[in-house]
Amino acid sequence: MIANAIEVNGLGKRYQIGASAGAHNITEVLMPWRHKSRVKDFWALKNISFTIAEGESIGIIGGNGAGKSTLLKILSRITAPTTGYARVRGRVGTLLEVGTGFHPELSGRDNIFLSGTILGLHPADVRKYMDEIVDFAGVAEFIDTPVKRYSSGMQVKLAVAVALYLEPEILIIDEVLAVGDLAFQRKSLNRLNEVTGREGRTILFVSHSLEAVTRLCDRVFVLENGELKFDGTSEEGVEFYRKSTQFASGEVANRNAKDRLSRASGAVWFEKVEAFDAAGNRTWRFSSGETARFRFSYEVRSPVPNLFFLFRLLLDKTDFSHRDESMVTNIYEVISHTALEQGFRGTIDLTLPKLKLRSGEFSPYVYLGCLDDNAAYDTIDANVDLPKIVVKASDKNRFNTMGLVSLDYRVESCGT
Amino acid sequence: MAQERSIPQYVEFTSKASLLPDLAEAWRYRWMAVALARRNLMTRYTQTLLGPGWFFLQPIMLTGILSLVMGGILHVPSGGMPYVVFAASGTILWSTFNRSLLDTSMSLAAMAPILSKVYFPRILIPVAALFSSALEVLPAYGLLVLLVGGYRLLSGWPLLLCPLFVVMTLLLTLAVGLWLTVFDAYFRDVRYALPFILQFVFFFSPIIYSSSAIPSRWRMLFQLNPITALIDGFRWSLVSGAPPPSAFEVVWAIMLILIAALSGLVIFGRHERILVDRI
Repeated sequence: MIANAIEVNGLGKRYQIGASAGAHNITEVLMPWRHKSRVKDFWALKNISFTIAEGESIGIIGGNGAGKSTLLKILSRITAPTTGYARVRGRVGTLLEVGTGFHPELSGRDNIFLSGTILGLHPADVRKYMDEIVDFAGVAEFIDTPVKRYSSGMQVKLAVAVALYLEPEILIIDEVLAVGDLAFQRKSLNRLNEVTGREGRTILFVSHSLEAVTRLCDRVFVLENGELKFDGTSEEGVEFYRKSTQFASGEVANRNAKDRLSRASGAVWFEKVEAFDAAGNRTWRFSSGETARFRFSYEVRSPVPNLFFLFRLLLDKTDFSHRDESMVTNIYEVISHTALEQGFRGTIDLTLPKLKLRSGEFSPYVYLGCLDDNAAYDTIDANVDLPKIVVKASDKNRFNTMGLVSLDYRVESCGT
Repeated sequence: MAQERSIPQYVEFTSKASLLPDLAEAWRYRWMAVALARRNLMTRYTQTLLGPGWFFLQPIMLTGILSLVMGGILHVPSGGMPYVVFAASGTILWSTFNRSLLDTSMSLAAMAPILSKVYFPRILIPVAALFSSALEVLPAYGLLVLLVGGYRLLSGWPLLLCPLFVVMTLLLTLAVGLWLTVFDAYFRDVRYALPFILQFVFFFSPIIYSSSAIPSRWRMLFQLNPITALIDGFRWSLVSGAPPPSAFEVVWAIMLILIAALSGLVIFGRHERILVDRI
């Protein structure tokens, strides 16, 4: 009989949001009655129940704010639930971010040691794996240099490498592998596959990459607004999620306004985003070499002097700095040199003929702004659950599908 | 024969907090405290020229200033011993308390980014902060022994009790630190108020003047401060000719330490599981 690794019953988590949630102040202490009214309860998780057998690998998918991270935090004991209980058997290893415990002033070696132990690896084990970790990250030459002198790519690789050598009975992972270049991501997934394959290892894996979820997990949970909406095989789960995401309609007008307004003024507002393949079908999945079309509808909510449009594809949705190394392309176009009045509605059609991307997932980032001072009007990306653009290679020859882009090329050879 | 794998027990997490932190679990994770303390020590003096030399310099400079002003110019009574010896023995124990308490009470908030990403027994954080700051002042004790030895004033057998007073000081620090670090996690006011309060305590402890200088009708009040017993006891055990602390003082200090430690553990246990949401 296989024992349960995790049993969860009636689990709920309440956070308080509002004017001064989190940051306490003196009026809250002295006048609690005044404070109460300004704080709202927010249930990040509601009445979740499930059991996970030893050795299962579970994928958890869901939109932003669905409660995925909260669930992982409770299961890894970082925070306590408000209702219900979770029972966990075995040592738990948690990877919620890349580089937990890293310190920029310390050398690569010291950081491996400290990060490894903080993540739960016994110092003796860190010493044992030290060479393998250094090797995996490919930073051998710089191992005694402070990590603040590393390129950001190297830092990330080192951090992921440490994490992949944890050997707990239960491994909890939150989207940390979506970093680094594609080759490194593949390598990490393979390593994780190895770990998953080992007997008795239970894995919970949150990811936006549905491909990775189907590849790694036998079972999928779909979370939506804090509720467990689906629990079943990964194929069915991914299908359920695809259908349930409201993105089918492409409406973004009411999605995550809070985050968008914190990043931009909201003077011009994205209403709808649609993507079509060459045949005109709505889809975010394309084949290499085929035409991809995108249509963005916007509304001018307060008058603007002019308008420009920017479209980016990024390798890593978590890279908010949009570093050059994670940017695949950047498209910039002036939409209007003259003022637009309030209430003006328009659409922008972007066509990418003969898509020159190769197999992979690319995160779009779309931006409307002002020409004069670069002020942002609205930006959308994963913050409105904008899907990734999934590209499948059409060429059967493996060597013609490696890498990121398909360049036009000509090869000439001669000889005697 | 098939090896039966030992099946670990279920650990249950609910909204109910336990009375005390799980000390048995913390002990199983003791290597983590060592790693955290090491991290504190390794990261503290990056990009300084003197590095760990600052551990020595701070108590030496304080002793020097006090000896000059209090001993040399004001002739503050030091109970018969050379003022340098008197001041050094007081300031080093005080520095231990002062330094470790500041570190310990800010420790949870300082670890907030790590707290929200990985679990380990939270109590290890203040414990590691105490370790690392205590290790920092340790070399200064060596200097102190050399100084007292140089004056040929080392006490003899009471020296064996010397570490006891240091350990009691560390226990007091941890006990008060447990309280303060929980408060500091919620209200950062603690870190602004604490240096001021510590300065206040400094002047009401026998560091720059001898306990015997206190008029007898105020002495009782003065002895309520547990630091008084610790410093008097430390000085007595180290320097020959220093008067011993009264039994009342010592018992009172031990009682206070125990009460503070127990209540500190309770406070910590009640809050450790949810403070990450508010830190």
